Amino acid sequence: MSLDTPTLVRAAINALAAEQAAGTGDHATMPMAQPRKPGKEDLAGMYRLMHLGRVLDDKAPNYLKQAIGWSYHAPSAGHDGIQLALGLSFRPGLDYLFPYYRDMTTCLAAGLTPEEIILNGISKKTDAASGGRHMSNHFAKPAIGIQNVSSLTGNHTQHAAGLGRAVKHYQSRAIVYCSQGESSLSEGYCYEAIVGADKERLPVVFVVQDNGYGISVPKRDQAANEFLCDNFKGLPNLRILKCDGLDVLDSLAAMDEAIAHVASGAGPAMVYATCVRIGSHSNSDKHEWYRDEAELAAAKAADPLPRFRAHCLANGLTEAELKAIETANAAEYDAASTRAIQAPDPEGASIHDFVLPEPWVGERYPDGLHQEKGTPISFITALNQTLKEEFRHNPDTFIWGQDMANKEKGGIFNVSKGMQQEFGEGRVFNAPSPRTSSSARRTASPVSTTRSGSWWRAPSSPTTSGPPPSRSWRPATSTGGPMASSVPTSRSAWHRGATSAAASTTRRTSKPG
Amino acid sequence: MVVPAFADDAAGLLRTAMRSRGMTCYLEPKFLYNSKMAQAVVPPDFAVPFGKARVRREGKDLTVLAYGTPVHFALEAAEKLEKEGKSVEVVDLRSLSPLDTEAIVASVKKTHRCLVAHEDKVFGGFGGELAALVGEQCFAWLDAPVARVGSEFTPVGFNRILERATLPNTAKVLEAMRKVLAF
Repeated sequence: MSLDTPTLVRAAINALAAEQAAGTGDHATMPMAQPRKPGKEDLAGMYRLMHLGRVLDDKAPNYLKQAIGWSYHAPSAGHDGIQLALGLSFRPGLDYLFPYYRDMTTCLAAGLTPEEIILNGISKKTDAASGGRHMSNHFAKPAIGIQNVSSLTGNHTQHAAGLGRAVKHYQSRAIVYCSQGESSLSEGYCYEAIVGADKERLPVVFVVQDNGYGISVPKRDQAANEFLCDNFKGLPNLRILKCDGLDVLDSLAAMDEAIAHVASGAGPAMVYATCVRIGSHSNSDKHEWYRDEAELAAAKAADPLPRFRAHCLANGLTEAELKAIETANAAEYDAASTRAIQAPDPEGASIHDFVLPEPWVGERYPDGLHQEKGTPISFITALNQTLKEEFRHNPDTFIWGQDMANKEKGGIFNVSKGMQQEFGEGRVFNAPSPRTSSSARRTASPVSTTRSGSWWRAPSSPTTSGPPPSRSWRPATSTGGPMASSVPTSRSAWHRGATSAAASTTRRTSKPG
Repeated sequence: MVVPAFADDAAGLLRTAMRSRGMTCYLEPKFLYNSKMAQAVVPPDFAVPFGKARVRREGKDLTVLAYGTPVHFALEAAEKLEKEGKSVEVVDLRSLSPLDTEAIVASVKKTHRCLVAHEDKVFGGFGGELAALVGEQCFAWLDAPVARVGSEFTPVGFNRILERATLPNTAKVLEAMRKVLAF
């Protein structure tokens, strides 16, 4: 019996097939790398979204003041240009988007409604991201491809890279978008993900929103480069594009160029958008303690919203038309807020739902016992044999990690010996480093398997303890994919047992979803 | 969260992990990879459901709850005690979460004594959870406090002498069994 539930990747492939048949929705057919010259209608639509995003951003703190919720809010004001451009580039139901916690306008433009934004903000049962389980300002809508997996800064680069591998393996034309702040590039797992995506030429657009601060830490404390994207200049397949994140049209031009690069198969892209942070990092932060009045005034003066409003006025929209949009947005917000506040809360009794995912149950050995007679085999042979049997049984299985396969070598202990020869390099392959098992967590298939990493517990803990709960419990669904993470434990095999050099290995199976 | 101790369970748990939804943390005792004592006959398409312990040895005087390599220490020690007229039951948990509480409780109610043997640290280790569970659910059936044997509260040193001093082994498990039986 193979796994029969369609994965998001499969769903996306199916959606794509329909779109391709209809001759729409394919970036490859779009004029590439041409600066956009939006018409009056386009400008009106863009202004509506940017203004509505700001209305939501300005209103969010009120819910906390009224003790309704939204106790975590990271304002998006000052990031409006790039966020709108990113959201508009995303094709709902086809592409994938891994936003970060500041991406409210991104998510609005990508397909979340104001009501859905507020439902997440005030942690309602009908919150599409998690039914009130995930933090506020962690927007998602898996049904259209927007995922919010972890709050750990930059952690989702790994999910994006892994999903990019899936998209490439299954020959989908989907693009994976991953968005983060500039300081999160300092995280080690971002390096793993971006280097891995570069090495495999994965269809991922990394969008980096640089507002100069990681909470209160100035950018100069992160790296020597002024633009942190320059830290990645040596990667041969990564296209780095700097843009003005305050300017939606400049940001759109950069996105178009990034998309054209990725769609060509040449490799991933990084759009590095310079923004300003008009507000504090979040409502837990007080930026007056570390930013002086002049700096705050300068940030406010650079506000993208009035700047874009002026552009609209200069390009065909009238004051009356803009006012009408603003009035309509205010009304839309009020209606959405009223509905969201009246929406049901999650029930306390539901906390135990989706803690342990539904296991596969075989019929032949209901208690896992047997009376089989025959020749005993070793533990390691049993692992190798079963891996091969399951790989034959399910073509959507993958195994990767450090020292997985190279000619006659099959894993540090030969657990995966012979697998690459039988199943090919597309399914059995080395990952770039011992810990990049985690960088490919969202991998190419319903089932994939990773062997890697001696030091699974401590250094990788953000990647092992962060995302797994997000796979079933936090999204409050039973759709978490198969993922077997094996950690060789116990006695030092450096001394015993192993004939090869000894280390430990990790096996992990995963699917995009 | 599963931990096989024998080749057949290694195969059976791996099959279930690879066919199940969600994440399975599969702990492989690498000490057992090529160990003769972990060898087993593996039937075709063998599968071990999550949350099903396996009684590896039946007994009536003491229950040892173990997983991974210490299952073998317990079996070796039980063999020795049999010669002294003591009958030890060894329950191989195989799966830590979900946990086969029913099998644990049934065994302890039968033997009235319980020892937890694992490679985890005793202090703060999973054995504390097991001991609490047995205490809560089997208190009236117990003839002795639930005991634990496992790693010392210190990192594992590389030198074999240090390693041996830290990790559990058959002799330590045997000594712990004797203590519980003598209570």
